[in-house]
Amino acid sequence: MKMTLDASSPREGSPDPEARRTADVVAFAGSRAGFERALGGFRAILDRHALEPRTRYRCELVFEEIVSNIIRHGCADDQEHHISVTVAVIGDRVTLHFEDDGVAFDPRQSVPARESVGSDSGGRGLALVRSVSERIDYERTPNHENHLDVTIAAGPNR
Amino acid sequence: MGMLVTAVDDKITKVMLNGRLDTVGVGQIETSFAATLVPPGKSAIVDLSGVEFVASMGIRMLISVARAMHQRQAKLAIYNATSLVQEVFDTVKLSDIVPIGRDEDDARRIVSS
Repeated sequence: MKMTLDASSPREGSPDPEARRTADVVAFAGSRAGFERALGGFRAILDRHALEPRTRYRCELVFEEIVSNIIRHGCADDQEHHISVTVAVIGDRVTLHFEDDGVAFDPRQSVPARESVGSDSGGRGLALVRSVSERIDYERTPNHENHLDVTIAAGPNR
Repeated sequence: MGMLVTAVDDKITKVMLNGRLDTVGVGQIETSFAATLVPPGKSAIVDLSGVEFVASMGIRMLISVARAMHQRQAKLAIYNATSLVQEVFDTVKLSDIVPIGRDEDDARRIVSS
């Protein structure tokens, strides 16, 4: 299913689960400008879920690090790219689902070699994502998209 | 992202940062932050009490400026991070590179030693 651009509030009392689902998606161009515009929509989604402050911080951290990494490395060519992020809150767990059509990139494979604190590379960001995540799943789809699920661990720092 | 610079004395500069040290916030202040702290060769303390969010870009900025200051025999220390920001610093062991003071007095002591 192709996700739609909609970061607006869900319709009050809407019985349509699809309407509620699309309201928790933010989609944007794979560029710095697209990222900056999307940030407000993503934070508005989090506002609606009234998350505990630590969980909220972790969601924003994962969004920041994953999206900036996609734009920096996955969308560095001259092509137009698109990114979407879906927020799913179930109980005290939040899963962020990222889709992009940039070059293949599995963040699970890239963290250990570059996570040195002394490095100026983006590896530090992926190390942060790993530190606040309970689970990370990645798939490169047959139609050349990256699908990444990051489930954020709630509660105390691990 | 906001930045307020004051002189503690003739040897130490104090910077108060406000806002978010993410990709957008760092893009707004990185040039002026570095230009304020590096060329004079004076040590500096950075109050982070007004910084609600720090991501890897913010950490990179702090490390980059601290290293540039070190090359000029100056020191940089940060202090007053919120508990959530401090968790991020702890995760990446930032204090191995940029000293973190408990409060302003501690930060001043660190850069004066």
